[in-house]
Amino acid sequence: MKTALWLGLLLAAAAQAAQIRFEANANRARVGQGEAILFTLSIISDENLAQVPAPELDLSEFYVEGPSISTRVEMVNFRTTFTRELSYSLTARRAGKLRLGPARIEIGGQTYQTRAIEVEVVAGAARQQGAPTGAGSEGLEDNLFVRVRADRQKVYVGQQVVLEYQLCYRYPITSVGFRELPDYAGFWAKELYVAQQLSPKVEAIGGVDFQVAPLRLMAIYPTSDGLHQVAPLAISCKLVSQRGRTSMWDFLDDPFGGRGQSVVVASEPLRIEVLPLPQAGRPPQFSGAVGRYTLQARAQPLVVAAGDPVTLVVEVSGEGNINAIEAPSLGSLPGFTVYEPKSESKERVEKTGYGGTRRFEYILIPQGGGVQELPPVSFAFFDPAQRQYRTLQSAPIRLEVQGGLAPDLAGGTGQAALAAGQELQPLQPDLQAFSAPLQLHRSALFWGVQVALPLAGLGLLLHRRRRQRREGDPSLVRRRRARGEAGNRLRLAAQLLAQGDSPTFHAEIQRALLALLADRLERPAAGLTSQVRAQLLAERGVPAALVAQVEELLATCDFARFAPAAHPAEQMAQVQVRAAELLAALEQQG
Amino acid sequence: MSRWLLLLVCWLGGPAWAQTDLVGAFNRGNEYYRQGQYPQARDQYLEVVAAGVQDPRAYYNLGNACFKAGRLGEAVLWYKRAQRLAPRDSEVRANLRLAEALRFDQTSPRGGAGQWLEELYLFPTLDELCLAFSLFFLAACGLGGWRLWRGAWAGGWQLAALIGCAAVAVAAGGYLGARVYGETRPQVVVLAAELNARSGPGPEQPAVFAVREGACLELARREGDWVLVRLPGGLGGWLPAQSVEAL
Repeated sequence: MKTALWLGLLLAAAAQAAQIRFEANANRARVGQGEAILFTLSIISDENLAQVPAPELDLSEFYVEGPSISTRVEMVNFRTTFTRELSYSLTARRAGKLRLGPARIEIGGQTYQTRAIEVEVVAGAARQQGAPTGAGSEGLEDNLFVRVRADRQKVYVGQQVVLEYQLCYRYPITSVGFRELPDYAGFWAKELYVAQQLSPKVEAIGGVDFQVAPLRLMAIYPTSDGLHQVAPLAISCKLVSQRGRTSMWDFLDDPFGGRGQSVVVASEPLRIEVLPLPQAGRPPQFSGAVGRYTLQARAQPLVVAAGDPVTLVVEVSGEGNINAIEAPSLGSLPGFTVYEPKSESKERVEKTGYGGTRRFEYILIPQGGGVQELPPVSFAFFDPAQRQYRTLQSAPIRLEVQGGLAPDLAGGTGQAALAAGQELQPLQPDLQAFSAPLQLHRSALFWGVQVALPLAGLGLLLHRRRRQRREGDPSLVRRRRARGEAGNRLRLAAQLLAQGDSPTFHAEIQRALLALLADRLERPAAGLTSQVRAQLLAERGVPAALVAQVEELLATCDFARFAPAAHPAEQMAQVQVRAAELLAALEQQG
Repeated sequence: MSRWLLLLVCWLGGPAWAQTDLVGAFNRGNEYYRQGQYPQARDQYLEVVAAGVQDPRAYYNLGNACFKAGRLGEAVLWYKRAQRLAPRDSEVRANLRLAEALRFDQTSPRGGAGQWLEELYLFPTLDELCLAFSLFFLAACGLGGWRLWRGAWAGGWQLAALIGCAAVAVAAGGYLGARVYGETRPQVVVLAAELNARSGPGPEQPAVFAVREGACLELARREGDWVLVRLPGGLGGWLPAQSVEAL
């Protein structure tokens, strides 16, 4: 948003600073209808404008090609001029005095406007320079025009009208293309033919030979009564310039030689008077079909079991708008279940008109047995040729419906056997309560049990195995007991430390160490003299430093038991910490 | 104290009263159906299933009401849902087959061995498969645990029983997995009478193929108000979401 604001401000500043002129020019002030005018809008500035919006310009009176945009830079006396040109090729839709512009454009918050240019468009104007020669003194539109012909111009609502568009020309032309196609407002339209290339034939029009090429064939059907007008169809083409030639037919030798002049020619608007459909004699079955049709109805199979589906096919064929045909009503068919028909259209598109077949397929299910008759199917339409309504009726169809149940369903093959005897099974009776499936596959509890029970069993097994292992190893049991006893003595020593009972404290520390050593060395504590301890611990791979620390602590405790005054509380705490560390170290030695 | 008692009664009794109300709606639907007022019957059954009741009998009767009311697509939908809950119900199967036979787009009917195999495949319910899997799986775990506890096989029969239970549990688990996958695979049933499947999610996209009421199609994707469906051959097309209903 901020960026856009800054850009706008910059553009406005640039435009304010720049000198801008906005001009319009037309290359001709007087043209024949169908001839092109080159209309140019020029934006001239002494600065290069980064962005120029499209100008506001009303060109609804013209067929427009373009604009083509070009930019020119000129430098005169050290002054640079930037010119941006928008060129339109315009062809007038009608003769008369037409105005080009004024055009408006807004640059940098300032509006610029061109002058309006008046152009005179004349029917039968003199041929312009460069146009083919040898076509007489008439104007362009006398030698190049689009002719539209209707096979009838007074019709009923829904009646078919075939429009034929032809290009009539005496000039050599190239690059023919549709410029504007009518929208056929008020009609339902169907294209019957469109030319992919010109296939002209020579035809004398007003005593003069023309090349006449069919362009397009349309079948149109008015949807309401009144006076309707078909809009013009316009084509564009290029006239081949024939400089130096003496005959217009020279183009046969070099049809693409020379420069081309673009022209646009359009057919005349066509008026069609549409009459309402008569009320008199309108049959009740009439649903809007207009044209000429035939009716066929057939059923299959003709011998069926009760409950078997029977297919009734009704086909309406003929000329007219078959898409507007509605399904004929079968009326009341007691003894049958009737399903909504399916419909499909098979179109027939010819140069003479549009038509085809509309097919309706009904599914009927006879409910009871016996010989039953399907009544005639009726179809009514309005025949515009005879100016009256007509009602068609098919022949009645006899069906032999066999009662009783069909053969075993499971053994049947094919659709008829599958459906045979399949009556709708009865309702489930009234209920006292609903039941619902457990939907165990969606239950987290269910899957949790499947996982938890085996895991619990496995855990139990592991626990049991571990316990057995422990109970079967005497040294393991003794170690655990020694660790427990040493721990207990340390806790007791901590209490004695709090009471300040130095002799008993050191005695407990000493006992804890000796108890652990006795258990580790599997000897009675009484026989563990200092030498024996050192020898046995060394045999078990205990580091000498650790042995020395143990011995030192034991000696400290021994001394403190008998000289309590030399051991204040701080030193006792250190002894306790030291004892805990040594016990842990001995534990790790195994 | 009395307020807590009242709350307890409401909590315990609420579902029961709602159930009674829904049972009443179901039975009213049956009454409408018997009188030939099928649209009204359908409305009653719809009220029941919209409340979350998953009873195959409600689905089945709703299918019947839709069928009679000329809503073939809906009938196929509800019969299929009923069949998932009660795959052995012969009436559900028969009515589903009838509705499928009447729809415009026919699939090739199965007959003989193919149909027998399909019915066999659908024979157990998912709950029964779950229970079978659970029984044999836990039995296999129990036998294995016993062996580990005792430290030796009690006899040759124990090993044979363990292998048998494990094999049945694996088979039941695989069968259950296949059924659950098949039934949870997203599918839709066409409810509109006839419509074109388009090459993209929008009415302006070119038509690819036409589908009609009652057709059951695989749902591939959702995008806004459109769904991408696939025919059995794999051909895909976009349909308006409101014209189909997920199975």
